[in-house]
Amino acid sequence: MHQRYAPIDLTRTWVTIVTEDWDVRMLTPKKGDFHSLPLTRAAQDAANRIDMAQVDASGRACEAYGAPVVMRHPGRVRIAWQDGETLRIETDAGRQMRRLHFNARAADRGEPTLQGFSAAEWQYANGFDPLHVDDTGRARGAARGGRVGAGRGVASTQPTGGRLKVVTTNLAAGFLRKNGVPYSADTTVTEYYNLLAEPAGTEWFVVTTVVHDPVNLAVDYITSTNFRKEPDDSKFTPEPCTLR
Amino acid sequence: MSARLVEHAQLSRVLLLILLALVWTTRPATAQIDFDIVGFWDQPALGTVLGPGNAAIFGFEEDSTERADGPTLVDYLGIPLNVEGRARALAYDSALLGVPEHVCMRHPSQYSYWGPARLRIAAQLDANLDAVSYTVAGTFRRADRTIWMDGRPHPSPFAPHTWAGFTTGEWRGSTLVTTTTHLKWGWIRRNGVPSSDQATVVTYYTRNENVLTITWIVYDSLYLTEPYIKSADFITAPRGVSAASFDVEPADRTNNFFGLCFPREEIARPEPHYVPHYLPGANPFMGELAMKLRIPAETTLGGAETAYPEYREKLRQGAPSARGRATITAPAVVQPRPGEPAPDTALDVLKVQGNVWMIAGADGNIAVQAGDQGVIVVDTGDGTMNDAVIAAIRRISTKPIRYIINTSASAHHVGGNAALASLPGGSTTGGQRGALVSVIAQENVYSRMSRPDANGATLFPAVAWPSDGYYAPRRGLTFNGEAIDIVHMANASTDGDSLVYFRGSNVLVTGDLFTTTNLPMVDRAQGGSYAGLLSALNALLDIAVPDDLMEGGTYIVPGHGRICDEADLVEYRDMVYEVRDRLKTMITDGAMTAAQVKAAHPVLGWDARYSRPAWTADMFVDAVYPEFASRTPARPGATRGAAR
Repeated sequence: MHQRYAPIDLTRTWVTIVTEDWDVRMLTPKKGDFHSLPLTRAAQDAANRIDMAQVDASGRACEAYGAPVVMRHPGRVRIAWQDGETLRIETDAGRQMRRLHFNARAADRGEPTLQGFSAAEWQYANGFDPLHVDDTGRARGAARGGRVGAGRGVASTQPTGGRLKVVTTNLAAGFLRKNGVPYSADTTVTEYYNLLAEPAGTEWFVVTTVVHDPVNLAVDYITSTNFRKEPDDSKFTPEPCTLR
Repeated sequence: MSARLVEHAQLSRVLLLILLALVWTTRPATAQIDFDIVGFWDQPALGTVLGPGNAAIFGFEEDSTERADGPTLVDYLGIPLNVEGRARALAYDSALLGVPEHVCMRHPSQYSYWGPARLRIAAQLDANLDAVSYTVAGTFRRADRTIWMDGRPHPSPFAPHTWAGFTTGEWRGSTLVTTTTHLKWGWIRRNGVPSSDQATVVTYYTRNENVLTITWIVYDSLYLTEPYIKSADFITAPRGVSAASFDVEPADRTNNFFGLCFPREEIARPEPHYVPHYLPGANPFMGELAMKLRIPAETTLGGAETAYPEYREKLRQGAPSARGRATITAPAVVQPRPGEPAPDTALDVLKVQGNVWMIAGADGNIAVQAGDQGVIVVDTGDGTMNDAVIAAIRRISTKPIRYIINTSASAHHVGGNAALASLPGGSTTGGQRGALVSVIAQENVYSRMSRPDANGATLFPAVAWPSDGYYAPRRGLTFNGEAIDIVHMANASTDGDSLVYFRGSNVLVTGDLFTTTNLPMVDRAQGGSYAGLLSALNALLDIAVPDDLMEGGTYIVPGHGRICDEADLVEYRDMVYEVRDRLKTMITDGAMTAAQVKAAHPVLGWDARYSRPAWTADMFVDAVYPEFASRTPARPGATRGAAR
């Protein structure tokens, strides 16, 4: 159902173009470099205390690749439907796998993990609503001349735009930056995926990420990250997690 | 009702509930949501400590230090700069923002959402409540953007460019997509990384519940090897935010965040028209960021590859010349031609302001002032489109042409003299009033046009020659109730250049002293000089007065190209000034040969923008080389009247 009525097609391989926060994304920032992060004093102190070399040595480098930050790492992502109700995002940076569940059920959540549990929903534009479309693709009630959907006029029986919203919870604690900036297990990540097309046709998706961490952040931490569609999968190069 | 019927009804009710539950659990997770972008939008973390300096004031959660206090100098990381863009960026001295010609510069649309900004977005509605336009206000120094939604076309390529540019838009699904053209020269990073007036910006506005994400892509083949993408986030401002509270620098009302800025000197200048800049290879900040970040100096110079994930591998391996100053080689510039307007069979007639129009497309630009007394024409094009030019003038006014003023003897500007001067009309002054159209020019123009060749022939017929030459430094005329200054700019492009200033309309006509299409045109055989041209540009700047925030005010009709204002003239003057210093260093001080100078690319940074097959960078070097080699550049005025 959700694959069938996807308002945007995010599948394929995409590469992030790093034109923002270059110094803290392409490099591991120095200890105490917190620029752009709305950290509480306690979070800063915690970041200054932690020994990231020890974290690395103990095999915990992937804690810097959790859902709050994994889309921010330079790299490529493969997006594909695992089934009609689950979209899968595979990152080459840190070899992470995310699953975005459209029919989210609390029972599926399990133990907290770095990628947490992601509940997904389409947010449709132009009044489209799949509940108002029958199995043949016709608008329910259209034969009677009734108006369907919201907005002005008769809504489309096919989605004509929209976006993906993802809310991720059930997270294990990790690091927002490789220099030890922490996020807590109480963190919620809300993401919005929008698809953009250049005049010449090149496609991008922009993911707006809102990190809410009542323990470490004074206000929500909001970023937007740009991914350009790749012509093929040839440059997808899985690399292990690293703090260097 | 029997017990069986009741039981059946209850069963049906239970089945219905089960069915509804099944439908509910398998229904798509969907919501009808608000995509509208109208409202107040703030930085995400206003007032939160985000790092050193003023980052907290501005509250951005990406590149907070860069966007508040400004980026590190020579930080071009992630920018797909080409060699020309890098050369211009490295020439940038931040003291430039301390001189009056630049101090009030607005943040242009190539950049403005990345700078300090608190947005107010409003919609203007038609009778059907459809949006005719949106206005986006609140970027630094208020280059407010109007987004036209009514399908109107973009203006003529000869129309003025602005800091905000001209923008049209359309909704595509949940995203407002806009296209901006007609931009001024500006920057894409606030440390001198340039963006040209040929750039186009495509912007995508997406409202993600209470977050507005604005993504923009800059297309500028003059300075970038591939499109440059950025995105910025804003959150819904708290209720009760008013215009009065919409100011982050209330303490300084003379130089505040959104408006008011009075051009003033903020640095001591060694000369009145000093242009701070660095010569090639002399930027003292080269390598500074590299030391701080412990990366190769070359990396800080940007380039498309520095934005790709795989560049990290190069960083891990170390670069060829790590740490320290990098040298920049200048490969041959291969760039597409810029999109400057080219002559067409159809002329373009544009109102400049006041009583002045511009006719474009007849090679050199033609300015027309019209009123009750008749018509003055400044320059007449190259003469190949006389009928169309006359028809265009008649569209402006049916009154007779009284005067022609020539800004020089260039065939691009006097070619139509004969046709226009032969029309019924006649001047309103002088001994031949009412009989002939009077052709006014500096006396050297007469000499050039009327001088016979070896066979006794002249380039132009006698009717085309100036009938009213002037010798004095300036000539004044009042026509159609407007004072008009005609001022000789000695030994500039030639020895007979005049600027024409319509005081009431506040329009300057420059002839070939200033164009938007060519490298500086210096014709030494006709008495021109580089020093004189630079002096003339400064003289033009002394007349032109910008309106608020370096836009509008005095408008300028250049010899070729689009209508300009002072900021465009400043940009061109800066080029002439900086190239002058490069040529002096190479030729006068360095004793380089002409071939060596050409190989050193003295106009790198402006070559692709201004070089033309008819006037290439090499031709330009050949033209000006003797002046710099002589160590005694020609003094303005040295040949005044010498050609008579």
